[in-house]
Amino acid sequence: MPAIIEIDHLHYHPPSLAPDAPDILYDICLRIDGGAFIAIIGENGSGKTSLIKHINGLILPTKGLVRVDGIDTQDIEKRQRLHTLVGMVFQNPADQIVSSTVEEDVAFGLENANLPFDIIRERVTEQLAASELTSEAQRPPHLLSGGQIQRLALAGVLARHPKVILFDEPTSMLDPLSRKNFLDRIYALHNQGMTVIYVTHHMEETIHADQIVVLKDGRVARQGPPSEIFLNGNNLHEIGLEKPETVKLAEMFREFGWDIPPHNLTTADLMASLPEYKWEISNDFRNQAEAGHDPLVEIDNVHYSYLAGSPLEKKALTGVNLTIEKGNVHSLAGTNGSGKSTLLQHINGILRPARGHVKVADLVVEDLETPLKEIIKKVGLVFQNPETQFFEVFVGDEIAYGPKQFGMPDVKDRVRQVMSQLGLDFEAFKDRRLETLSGGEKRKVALASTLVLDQDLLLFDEPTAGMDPRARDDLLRLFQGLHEKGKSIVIASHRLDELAVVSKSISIMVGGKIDASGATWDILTDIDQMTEAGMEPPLSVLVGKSLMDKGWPLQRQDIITSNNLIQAISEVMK
Amino acid sequence: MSSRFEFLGNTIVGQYIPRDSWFHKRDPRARLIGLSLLFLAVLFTPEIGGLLLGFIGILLIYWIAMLPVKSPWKSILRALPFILILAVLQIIFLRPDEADAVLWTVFGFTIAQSALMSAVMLVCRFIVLIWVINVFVMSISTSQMTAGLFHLLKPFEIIGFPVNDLTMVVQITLRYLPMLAQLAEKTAKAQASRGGDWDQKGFNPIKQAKRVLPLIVPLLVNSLKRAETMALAMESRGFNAGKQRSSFYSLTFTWGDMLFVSLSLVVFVVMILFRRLF
Repeated sequence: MPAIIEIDHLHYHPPSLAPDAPDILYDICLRIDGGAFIAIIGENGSGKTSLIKHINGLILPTKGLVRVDGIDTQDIEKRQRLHTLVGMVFQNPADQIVSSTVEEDVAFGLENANLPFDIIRERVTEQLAASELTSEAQRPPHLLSGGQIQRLALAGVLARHPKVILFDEPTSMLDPLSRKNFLDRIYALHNQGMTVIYVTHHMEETIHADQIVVLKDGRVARQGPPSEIFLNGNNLHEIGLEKPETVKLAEMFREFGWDIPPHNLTTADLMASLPEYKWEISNDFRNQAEAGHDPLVEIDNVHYSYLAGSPLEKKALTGVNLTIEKGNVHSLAGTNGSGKSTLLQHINGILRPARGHVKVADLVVEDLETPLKEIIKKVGLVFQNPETQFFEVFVGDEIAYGPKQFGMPDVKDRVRQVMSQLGLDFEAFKDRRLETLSGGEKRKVALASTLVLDQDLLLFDEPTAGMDPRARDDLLRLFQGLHEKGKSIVIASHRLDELAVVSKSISIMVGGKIDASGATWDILTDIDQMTEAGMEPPLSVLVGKSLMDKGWPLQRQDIITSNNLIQAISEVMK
Repeated sequence: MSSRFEFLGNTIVGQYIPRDSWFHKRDPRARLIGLSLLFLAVLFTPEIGGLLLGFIGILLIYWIAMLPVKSPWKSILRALPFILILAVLQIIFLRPDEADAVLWTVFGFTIAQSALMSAVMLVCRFIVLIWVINVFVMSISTSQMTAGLFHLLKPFEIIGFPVNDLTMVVQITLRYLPMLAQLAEKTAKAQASRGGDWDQKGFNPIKQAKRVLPLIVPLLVNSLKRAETMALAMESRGFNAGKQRSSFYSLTFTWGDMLFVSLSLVVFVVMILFRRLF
């Protein structure tokens, strides 16, 4: 098949950047065939988004040439044609929706093409059905779930019948179930012949790609099919990336001498090649760690609705019961919309229950006489994407906001200390303007501005969303450090594999209620329950369970993280 | 209990309730014209009888369109303090005529019958206006509004009126309001979670105003950033302000629409000319 996208010695250096600063993109050459599925990976700030924006002409090259289906992206005359050829789905679902109802948003791009009314209707109906949004046609987009908005964004793009679709980390805000559905949709499109350019942080999402392009500091660091990138390249960690979990496990299994064929990249492939247990079983049961009984947070039958009393009322919590022990790392797992964020906001008092009781230490949260500031003194909350909520201009002021509100002494020292804890140099950063920071630095400032208050209980809402693997590891280490200092931590997330590493106990939330609660190993190894709650069990659990079915004497505690699993296997292989 | 952080509930945009009613089936243009006529009539009718007629008309629409009557009451309760203050000012400062009957004299202020009447009129006028506005937001979706506007203004394109740009501006503004409300909510919560003073104790307008001020800059910055992304998203979906666009809505003005507009016009004329007619 002939190349549909040709990128020739592309350099990009925006005029806003200092002339001596390095180029955002440096000498990129790529040829992409029609109908190909290309995944682009690289750490935050490596130039992924800038690269794909060149393909539909949102950014023009400083030097070099980008051609799509023979059209030079710099040719203004053919811009309209280029935008019809190439569609784009952005990272943040909400920012790309233009209209105030779902159906009209699908129509937007067709109106722009000046298509006649009946064709617009026809295509809108067709796309709404294909994206399972027909019943939402008249709803305002801001009331849809993240998964629905992202499907809507794709529907709006597909309605224009493009040949190429660019995806910029489209699943980073979605929960596992919506993510899987969205990915399936993309695979299906690819099978129908669509050219897909897919930027992502999730290595597992790239294993079905035809080619992976790895960017590092604006250059193509590596390029090849997934098997080549992940099976041969052993220094991926140096460029801020990691191998997919399946590949990591497969490699370690091979070290055990197991016969795992080299091209096994999918979970199903891996599971199919696990060996039977052939050693003698010794009775060596480990003791389970017993949790202490010193409740810090007690939540009793809590109900809450947003927009209560209005036509758009939405029930968020429908009778939550939960106890969180002091010094514990507890996780709330659940899909988007299951009530995790709302519950967290009840623990730090910015929402007060409409019905039910919340007690934090000795403070009664539902009692409006309990001052919010008293609760905040004990409980810190880091929101999802906290860097979107900055309200100061300079880094130092942003972090010092909390201590100033509480009239704490030695504000400067506190700020200095928390900044060094997070690896931000006080002198270098305190007077930097917030908007000049990189994504990772912003996230650190946001964390610092809560940690500076040194509360006993810390709540984190989807803390790893949108992070590259290296940043994610740093954060998980930070959690462990805080836990060792005796802090109690509650993490809300839909990434069970990450929660498995840090949390001692987990609650599963479904439809505004706690569906199950218990020790992490106990909850995570109940695969049916996980799946029913719309969650994806960690790969190590799937593999571990399947090994147990094959007679391996593993304990359920041993299989919740890959590291534990490997260690347990090596122990029982004697 | 509603939260003090629920800004979204307080914006009137996005309160549209889709219903399968005769009223909802009217052409958006007819609804826009009809409701605008009612709005103007309520604003300018000289007599309380005219207001009553307007109110009956509105109630009829609520009934036909199957809209909840709870919503306008909530809006009225929220606006009531301000309306009452206006009414009191009206009573105190409206100078009585020679022929006016003085009812009471309180602290040297004379309260005349005509002043009291006009204050009552003012309160009623505001209440009915809120009912009309609530029909607007509950029965015309923002997209119907922009489509209606687009088609109503279309004829003026001949004289060089930028209909495309204008409707796009209206559309994006309407899309932005709930987004701004959500942003304000997030920022306020972030401040409160770090010790910002958002506790609500009693009625303290100065404290409330002081609270809102720190929200304004982050809101502006954030909405500019979002506007940038949205502009890119629009461009990549082929939007070009100068180019001819078509519309998702093909509007057809039916006899039913004509009937609704005519009825509204009759009510309008009667309300405005109430004093001469009766």
